[in-house]
Amino acid sequence: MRRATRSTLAAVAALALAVATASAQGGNQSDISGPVVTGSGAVGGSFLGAGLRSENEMFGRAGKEVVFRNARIGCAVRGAEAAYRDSAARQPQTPAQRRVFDLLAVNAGTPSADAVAAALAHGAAAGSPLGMAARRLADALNGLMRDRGGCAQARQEYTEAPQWREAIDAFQRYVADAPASAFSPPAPELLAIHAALQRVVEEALRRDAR
Amino acid sequence: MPSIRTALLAAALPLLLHSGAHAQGTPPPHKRLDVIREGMTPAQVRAILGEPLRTRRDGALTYLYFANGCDRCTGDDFVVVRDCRVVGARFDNPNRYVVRSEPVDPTPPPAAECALAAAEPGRAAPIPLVSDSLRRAPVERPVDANAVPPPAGPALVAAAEAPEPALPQDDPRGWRARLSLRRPATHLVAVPAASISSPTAFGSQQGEAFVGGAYQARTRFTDLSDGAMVLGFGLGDRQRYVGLEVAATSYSTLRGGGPLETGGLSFKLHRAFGETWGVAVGYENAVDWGGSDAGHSPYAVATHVFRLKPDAAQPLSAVAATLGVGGGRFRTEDDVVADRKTANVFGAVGVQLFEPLAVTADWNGQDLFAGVSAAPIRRVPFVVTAGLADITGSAGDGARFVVSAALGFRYLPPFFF
Repeated sequence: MRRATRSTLAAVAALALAVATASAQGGNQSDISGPVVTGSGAVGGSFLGAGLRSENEMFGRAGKEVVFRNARIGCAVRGAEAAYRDSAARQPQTPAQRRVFDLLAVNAGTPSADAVAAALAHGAAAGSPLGMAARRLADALNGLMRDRGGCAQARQEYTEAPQWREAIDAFQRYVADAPASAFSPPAPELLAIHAALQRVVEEALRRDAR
Repeated sequence: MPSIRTALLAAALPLLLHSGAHAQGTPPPHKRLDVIREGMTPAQVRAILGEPLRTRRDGALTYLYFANGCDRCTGDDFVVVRDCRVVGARFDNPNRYVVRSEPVDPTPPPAAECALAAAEPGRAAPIPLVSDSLRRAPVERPVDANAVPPPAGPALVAAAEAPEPALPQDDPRGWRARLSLRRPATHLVAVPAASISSPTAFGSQQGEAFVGGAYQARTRFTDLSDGAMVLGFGLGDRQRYVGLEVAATSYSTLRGGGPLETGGLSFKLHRAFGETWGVAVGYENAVDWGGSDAGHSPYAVATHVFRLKPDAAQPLSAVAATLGVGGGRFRTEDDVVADRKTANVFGAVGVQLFEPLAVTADWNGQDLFAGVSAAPIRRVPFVVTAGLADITGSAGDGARFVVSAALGFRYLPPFFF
């Protein structure tokens, strides 16, 4: 525990002790001799470190690391990736899809983050906001859906979770922040990325819900 | 000329007789017109042409070969299928035609329709590789009403590499909407309680609220049951600054003057450090009314969560330990009876056996509690805690059954905090 935390603890303890002696109470305390009814303790949540807690249906944290919420959803993601790879192999691909699928490792082709980043940048300089958003997205997709074998036992073994989180965030950020010129029309690579991420996430959540 | 007419009639008569005879029976196979349309499923093709002699895969394309059914033809007829839909065919049999049709329904057909042969189980339709947003866009596609005979050979069907489709025009806002990605949602999560009678150092913050009730089968030294209700909410930010929890308790329920006849207001200032440490100071019943015997109970408390497993879904994943000091109800029974203004130590230990189930031992300064807490519905923060109070007989006159139930909820949507 940090020094500041210890200091805070000591301060609040001293404060409580100072006021404790002012208390007085009589009777047999029938009103408060049962479960705590003076706060949120009965609602639980302390095992998560707070009162009410939200939980992402796909991701969680183990310490500071982004992980899948549990091993089950990790397994569902890998299953969805495998289904998508299988589907991609059975269908013709446009050149843009091929570039994206090579980058995602859906195809066995040579990935080129530079090619996808260039397409997403719409001619913007690499150092421009659009160029950097394109580069961030392309880097996040590199090898994202490669075959990692079967399912693992523990969620920490799904080491792709941070990359999935980053890929989703980078895509959302690109779509939200890219200038209007990037959508007139958008690069076909962007549509291929959208379809791939969307399909796999939806399929994974569907499998997890079964 | 007569001889020519005679010869023509002689030649026509057998033909007429022959055709009349066939009109009353089943026409021979070579007289039937078999029309295969683009977009048909393999099951529809088999209903027309029968079972294929064999099938062959070539990348994304599947070839279904059929007997050509004519003596002078060379090679088998075949139909080409991609994504469970006919995309082309080549027929030597002159009674078989392939017709290009309107834009094909993009909806994947049922798996049973995709079986390439009667003996083959239905194959799952492939996952479309194109965004729904693009597939919903109008796609211009030329309609060929069979005016041009298909060229021979597999080259007539779609190439393994598809052409880049023309993207529909839309304004940037429309594109941003089409390309919105479904983010994995967040839900409230239900976790069992880590104490029964003692307050923990964690509490509600801005946007969070709770309502609950508690019941004692009998109170100390009596055979009378007792109930209480609580409604509370949080303010502030426990991680960045400090959270303030405000709780209104009604110590009267059904007997006497009914709810709110006696009650109190309690406050807890709490601060969380990461996800494992919390500290708080509180004042139970800082304001009271109606003559409750609950009294005023200031306290300070710290809680630490020991993560035994990184995954909360695994058994024995966490232990929550609470240690505090306080006056009021946290004093020993002797001090309460003697009205000594002292402070006493309280604490609780909760063990998360499974994600929704915990066992708890709780010393509130007078009584030792032991019980079980459960959160039966994962995404509804409804928690039931039941146990025995005073199991050591240190205060009161023996063990008493106690139970509480509480529901957490948000009074502001998540984006407000």
